[in-house]
Amino acid sequence: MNKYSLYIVLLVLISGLTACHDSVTDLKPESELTEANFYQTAADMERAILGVYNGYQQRYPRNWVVFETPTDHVHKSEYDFIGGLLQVDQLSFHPSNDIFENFWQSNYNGIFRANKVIQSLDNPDDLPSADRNRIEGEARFLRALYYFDMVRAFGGVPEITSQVTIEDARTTQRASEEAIYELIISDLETALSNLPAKGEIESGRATTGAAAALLGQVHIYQENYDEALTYLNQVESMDYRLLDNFGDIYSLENEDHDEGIFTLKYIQDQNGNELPSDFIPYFGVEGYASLGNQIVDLSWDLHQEFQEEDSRTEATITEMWRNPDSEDSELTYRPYISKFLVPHNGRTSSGLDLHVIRYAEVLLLKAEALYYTGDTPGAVDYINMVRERAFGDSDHNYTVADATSEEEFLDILLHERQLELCLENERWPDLVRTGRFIDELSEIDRTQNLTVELDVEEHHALFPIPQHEINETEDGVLEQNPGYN
Amino acid sequence: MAAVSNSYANETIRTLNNAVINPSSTYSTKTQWGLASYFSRVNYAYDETYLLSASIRTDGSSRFGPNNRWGYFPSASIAWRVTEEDFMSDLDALNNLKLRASYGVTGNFSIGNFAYLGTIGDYAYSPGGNYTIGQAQNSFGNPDLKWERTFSYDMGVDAGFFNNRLNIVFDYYEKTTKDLLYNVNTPAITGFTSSLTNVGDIKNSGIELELNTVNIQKSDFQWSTSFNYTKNNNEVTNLGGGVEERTISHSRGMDWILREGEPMFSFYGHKMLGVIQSEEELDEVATMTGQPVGTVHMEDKDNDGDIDDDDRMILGNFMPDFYMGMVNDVNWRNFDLSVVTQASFGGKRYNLENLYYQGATTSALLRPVVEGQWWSPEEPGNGEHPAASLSVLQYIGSNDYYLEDATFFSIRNINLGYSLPASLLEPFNVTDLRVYLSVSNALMLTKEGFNGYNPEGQTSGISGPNSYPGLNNGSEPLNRTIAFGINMNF
Repeated sequence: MNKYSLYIVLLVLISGLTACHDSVTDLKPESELTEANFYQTAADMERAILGVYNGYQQRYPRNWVVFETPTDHVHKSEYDFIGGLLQVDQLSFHPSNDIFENFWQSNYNGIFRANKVIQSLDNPDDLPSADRNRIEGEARFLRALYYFDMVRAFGGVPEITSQVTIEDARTTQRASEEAIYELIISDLETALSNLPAKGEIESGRATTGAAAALLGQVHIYQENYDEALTYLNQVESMDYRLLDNFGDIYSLENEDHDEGIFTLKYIQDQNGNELPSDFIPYFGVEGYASLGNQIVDLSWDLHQEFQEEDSRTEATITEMWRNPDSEDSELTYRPYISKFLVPHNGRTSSGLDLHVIRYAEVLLLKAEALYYTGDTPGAVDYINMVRERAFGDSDHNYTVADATSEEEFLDILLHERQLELCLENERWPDLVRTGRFIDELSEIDRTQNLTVELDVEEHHALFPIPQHEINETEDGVLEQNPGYN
Repeated sequence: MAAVSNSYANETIRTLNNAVINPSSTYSTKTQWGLASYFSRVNYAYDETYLLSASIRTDGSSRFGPNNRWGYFPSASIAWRVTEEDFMSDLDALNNLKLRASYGVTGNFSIGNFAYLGTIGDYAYSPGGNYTIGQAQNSFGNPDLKWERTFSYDMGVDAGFFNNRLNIVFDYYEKTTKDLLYNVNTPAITGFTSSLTNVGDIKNSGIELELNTVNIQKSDFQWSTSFNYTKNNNEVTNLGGGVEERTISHSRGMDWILREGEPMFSFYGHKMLGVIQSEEELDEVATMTGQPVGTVHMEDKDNDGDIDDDDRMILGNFMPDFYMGMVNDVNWRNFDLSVVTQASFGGKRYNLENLYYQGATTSALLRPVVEGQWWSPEEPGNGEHPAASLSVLQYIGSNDYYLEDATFFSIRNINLGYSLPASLLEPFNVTDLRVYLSVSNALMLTKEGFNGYNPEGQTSGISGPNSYPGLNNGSEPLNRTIAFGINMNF
């Protein structure tokens, strides 16, 4: 009967069918923290807010790529560290440029972290209300910083204030520039009332001073000079001052100084930054770093703004260099930006703290606010405060005769902002908001012997929305900025 | 557990208790995953002529969210041994003929544990100058994650002629993988640029042919040959999320594209027409912004006067059109010889490694990629090789200049042996003794214009939707091994 063979094999676990497989398949993570078991306690929230700081701290050291490269301060070197840098340097912005894409993505990751904290504030039942308010203030301050970077780069962007699903994200349009500024201002106002003052909280965290200073800056961008003055006056009444010596601002000694208003703290090798390597020669600088990144080189346009008697000249630019690798190399003329150069291993993390906003900028912002509220002598006085620290005396002060027109005033203000704040991520926004970027950037002296002409157009005021992000949304949802289609 | 570097108090005690423990690299972890399966199967054979088998399995995995934990995987196959039928018994030449067909579904759950939940990672800050661990969510949860399934059909014929002196196996197959488990791009405003998702569908279809022949069958001389041929067509059939294509950009300029209807990860970039020889030519032809003389003249597909992303096109694929293999075994008296050959046609490689042999970096020079290079309008080379310094790489890397045809023919292995006669061995209690000489990678012939060291070499395979398969950025060259050996059995 082999001819008619029939096999039926059934392997079925019969007993305890469902009870058995649930214990196998329905597992809970024991070592992994997940969204399901985080943001629940006071301790969770304290760690979560550090996560928001971390996002900004990690990105900020390379903010210069976006806010300084397209200007007359620096130009791309012969070394390729960052894809797409040449296009940014030449103002041939393209929607598929990686730099804008990364900038967009890292900002929204930071915004996500801040949103998670803000929307989870009422989860814990062990979070004292004072801590709850402080954490809310910190999260809103940081969210404002992220959005301020975004709005200055792209104009209006999607306004995300809580976690969104992937489906919703694919249909979310850009908000207007005004709406983003409103969000920034309201976040900062909440931060101002919730945050502790300087000295009542660890250095490196947001304070009332930081919120007020940023409010002053944001209102100046919005040309609300009266409001700006209110907040800048508040900062002035707080415990900040100009350091005696400009060179001490970026140094590894006494980093929690009185000029820093919002300062990002870094620790070498643990969570450091490479900024001290970024502008120095590729082969390093004797006594400071055995290697450099030399991503960009100093442009002659910036170089020639500096006067010899100005103490900022030496603190910002080093003109002579010798190759530390070769014994017999001699000092040669090879100017580079040494503003952030501190001893470190080179092309690796350093512990240099970075000041997102510091008191000298507050004084210059106040000068601007005073000028536009009709107080030209006051405006000149505030510029002079910064100048006197730099020159050590009042011999180089401006007078009202130097500011007989708005153009003249802007000339001396922007000049001073260059000397004081160059490579601190202000130049591009300054040129855009004053409408001077076309005039200033159409022709740039890169070196004493090389002048380049760039094709700068009105639409360059805003960077292109990353094509990658447009592609990830449904057709027509994320609108490109004018001039990039 | 790990110590902070240079934190040992002295050299005497070298255990961790003498050092500062680095909290960021010290951990223990517990994780688990579970898989529950139910399985049933039917086998049926009638007269050894009609064969049927069917099965179904159901698997539940803890790696998926509660919504989609279970997957169902049926399979079935039928076969008809035609030569067992009475009406075939007269055919002497055809001694075996079997027709078969099968269908099956298999599942893949090789993702991380709890990947359906957004996870929280450590992100430190240093308030007050103290390194302090903070936390943030570092992945986007997806409770709808489900099994990736592959649906396969196969139809085949097995035929044996002349007492199995000639055997033919032929198969046509079609495999469609659905709901591929990959990280896919998401709008960054979610906070994340990618999320593990069931992303899309990919279809592989093709034919496989195998021929085995016994060419000579004599007592002291045997020769047999085995030949195979495979042709596979790959096609992206669905990308999911309402998108029809995705490009993956490499920092040196080349893009890889996933486009519905095209093979996955096709090279996508500009078409090279030549080298821009002079300033006059530079003014005439369409260029990228800032493009200098001596770089690649690219095709202006949309005729708008400049070269930009809109001018990109599909330039080929890393997968070969088809490949073949042949093994010959010869035995003559006590000698035996085996030769394995292999050939592949039509696959392409993005040989970025050529860059390192063109003088732009401080490494060796390779004649075929240096000779003919553009140096200056006075020394423009042969018009095939652009200037290759790093500063102009962006005008070189984004087109098919580095894309090379990786077609090859190779002799993979030659093995020649001699077995000593048993009569000689008997006194030494040795059953058999064979000495042999084997050469692997004896010969590798590639097409002219292929400059890589290994046509199959690549430095990046497929690991998700953001992969660069076929990128060769310095893969290991083939090594030839010559071995002499003795096999002895007691």
